[in-house]
Amino acid sequence: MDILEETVSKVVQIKPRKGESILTYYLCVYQEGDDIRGELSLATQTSCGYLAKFGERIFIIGGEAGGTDKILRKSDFDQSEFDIPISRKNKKKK
Amino acid sequence: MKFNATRLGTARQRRMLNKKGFADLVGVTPHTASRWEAGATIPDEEWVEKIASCLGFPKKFFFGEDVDIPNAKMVSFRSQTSMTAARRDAALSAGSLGFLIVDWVDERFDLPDENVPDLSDYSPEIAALMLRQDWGLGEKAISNMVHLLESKGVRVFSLAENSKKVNAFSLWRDDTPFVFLNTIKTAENSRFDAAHELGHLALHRDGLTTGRKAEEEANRFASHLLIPQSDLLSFRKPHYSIEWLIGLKARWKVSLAALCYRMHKEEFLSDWRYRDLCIQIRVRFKDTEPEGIERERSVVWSKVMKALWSERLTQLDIAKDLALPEEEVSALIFGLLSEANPPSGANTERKFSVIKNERYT
Repeated sequence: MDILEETVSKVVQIKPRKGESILTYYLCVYQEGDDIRGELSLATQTSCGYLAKFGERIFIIGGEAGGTDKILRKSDFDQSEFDIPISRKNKKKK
Repeated sequence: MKFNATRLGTARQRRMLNKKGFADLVGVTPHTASRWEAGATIPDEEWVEKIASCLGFPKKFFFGEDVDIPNAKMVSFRSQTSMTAARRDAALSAGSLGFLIVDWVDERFDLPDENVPDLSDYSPEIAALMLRQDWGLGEKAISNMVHLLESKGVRVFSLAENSKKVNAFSLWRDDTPFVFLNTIKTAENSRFDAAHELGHLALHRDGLTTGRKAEEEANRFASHLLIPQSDLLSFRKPHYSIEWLIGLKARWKVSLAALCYRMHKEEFLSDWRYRDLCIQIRVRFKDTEPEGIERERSVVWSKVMKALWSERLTQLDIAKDLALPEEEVSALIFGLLSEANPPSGANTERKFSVIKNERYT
């Protein structure tokens, strides 16, 4: 991860003044190949060029360009010892 | 399409209103309300608006085809004595809405074919044994009753009633078996209910046995289906502690009370010891189940909803197509679904999902 530029480091240390309601969120983007991820952060402090403290962090999880990987959960009940075949008759909504 | 009187009756009963209560709610005389429901007169546009608003159904619902209404005489309810007629009718009208949903799904999906044998000529104990043989279950414990029912073509719904007084019910609609399960009870009780309702489907399809006798037979069937006698016999010993029984019940995924009841019936437990165990269970666990199992969910609804979600369709679309209140569709389906909402990745065009990190808020 790249270290923040000095100007940014200074900005994020500025907290809203008393009575003001404007907050600044930073959109941080990470890209590796087709995989893109992001984070929308309300940073309140930096340390050694990194965001160190946050008021709020919102993670934006990206997917591969070909589509998102299906995450199977323990409670995914498609798995059954009994054969329960279900198939779509047609794709068009009637 | 003109105003459908049978649909008015279904919606009224679903809201647990008698005809007078409905008339008072809408602001007409009971005579007028009765004539609407009998189809003798048709309410005008303004009154239809009022009816729809009072009953919480979309106006369009009242202009559909006739709905199938389960025959109360052919439906076995458990806990009949503590159930009012209004509550029974409300549950039956939920059955009518379930029929509409199944018809909608049947138009779009191929579901497992019905394969529930008629075992009405046999005693519950023998019927349970025969069903196990017929379905190739052997003597092993049934891993999931809902899955088993669904694999044999039974349409399983969650009961929309938020009351323990309506346990569960089942019925045949032509050649399709239906089971409605109460999902606010413990998972073990719901599982026993599923086996009990299967007993009704297999033993009482002809409708000749009803009432308390039918309920008692279905209970015996369920007990023998879930706990095969030969398997139970291998656990006979001189003394049973409650802790040991808690460990044993996990083998068949039944409640502690159901296991003790069965062991008493099989004379593993004396009357005195059984009574003592019942008191211990009541005092120590009250309405909870020790070492409870995970609730059984539907595979059919999971697969159907996932397929629909991938096409950007949700329960809202089902409700809209059928002109049903969304909460009715949700209650009938989602009590049996592991995921109540479409997964964020269901639509492949969406590349991002947002996760708020609570740790920093």
